[in-house]
Amino acid sequence: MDASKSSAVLKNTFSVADLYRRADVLKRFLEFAFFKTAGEPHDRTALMRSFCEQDPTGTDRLDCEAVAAWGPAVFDAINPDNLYDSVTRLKRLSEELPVLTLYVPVRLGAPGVERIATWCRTNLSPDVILDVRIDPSSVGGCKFAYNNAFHDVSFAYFEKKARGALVERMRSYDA
Amino acid sequence: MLSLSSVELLVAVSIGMAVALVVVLALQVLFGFRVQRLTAPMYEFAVSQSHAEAERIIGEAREKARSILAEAEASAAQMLAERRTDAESHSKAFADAIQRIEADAQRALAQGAAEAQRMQNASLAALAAEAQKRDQEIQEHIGRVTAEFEGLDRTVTQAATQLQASFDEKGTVAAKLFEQSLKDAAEQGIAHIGQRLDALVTQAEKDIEAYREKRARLLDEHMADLVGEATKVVLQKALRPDEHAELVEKALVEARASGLL
Repeated sequence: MDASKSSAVLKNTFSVADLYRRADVLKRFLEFAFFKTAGEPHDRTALMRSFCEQDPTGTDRLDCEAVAAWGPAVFDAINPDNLYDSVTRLKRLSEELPVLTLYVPVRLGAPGVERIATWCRTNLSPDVILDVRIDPSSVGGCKFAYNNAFHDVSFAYFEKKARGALVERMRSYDA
Repeated sequence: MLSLSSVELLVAVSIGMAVALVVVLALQVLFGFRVQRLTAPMYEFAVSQSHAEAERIIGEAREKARSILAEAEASAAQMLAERRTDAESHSKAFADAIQRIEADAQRALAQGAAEAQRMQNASLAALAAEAQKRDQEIQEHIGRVTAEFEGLDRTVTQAATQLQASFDEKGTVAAKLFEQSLKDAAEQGIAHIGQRLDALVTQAEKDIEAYREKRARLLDEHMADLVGEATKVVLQKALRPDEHAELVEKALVEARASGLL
């Protein structure tokens, strides 16, 4: 996949789950556009809005907006002949990018994922993508795997680090 | 012409040779019978002479053998009689010798027994004399020892009396010394026990303090665990997703600062 296309996708896609889900949205939208409407669509935003309203699967509005925002860099290269190959290549984009596997205690939601991904793209790599997984034991922080190394920076890590101070603080109550 | 005469000559010669052969054979048969008829009586006579001579020689040989056998039997009987006579004489001599030896042995045995009896009687007499002498010496020795024992008994009794008097005298002094030493030992023991008790009390206080410190540390650790668990539960339940996201970001910042990321 070329750089402009991946850049357009990554601009508003921060996790592997988002990427897969939006690739499916793209596939259904283009099937709708190519095979259920007459002729080539001229206004994709209006057509996407129409698709989201008619989509029987109840596609998330945010996903629709994100796919629509990918723009010509993605849509112009896809036609009825290469639709499915293009969607498959889009899903494989996560295999070409650096992935930070992140274990968090609860579902963070889109804003939370975006916040963390933005920090990662600023401090680690501009095209890093998150693979977010739920692990209740990572409360108070997170656990992550990056570059084949796993680390635990959850509450257990901080509690171990501040154990002495905590004990001293409690002993001060005895006196 | 010439060949015809040769064949005829050859036939004539052959016939002539055949006739000559027949004549020779006839003569041979005739003269053979005559010779046999002349030599047979002489041959029979010679054979009969030979048989007679052989019978005569055999008869003489038998007679000679018979005479030799008779001589041998007579010689053997004579020799046997001589040997039997010799054996009887030797047997008689052997019996006489045995009898003589037995008589000598009995005589020597009787003499030995008499000598032994005599020597035994002499030994017994000597032993009895020696025993009597020893018994007398022992009796004398016992008398001397008894006298010595009696003297010794008196000496021991005197020594015991003196020792008893000495003990009575020294016992009082020893008892006083012993009482004093007991008193000193008791005072030293009391002081030592006091020091020991002080040390034990000090050590016990140290142990109690160390134990209290250890238990307090354990208690603090346990309380810290409880606080941690409680914090986890509170964090899990009480925070909103954006607050969790903030904590995750802070954790990543910490990891970055620690060189983990």
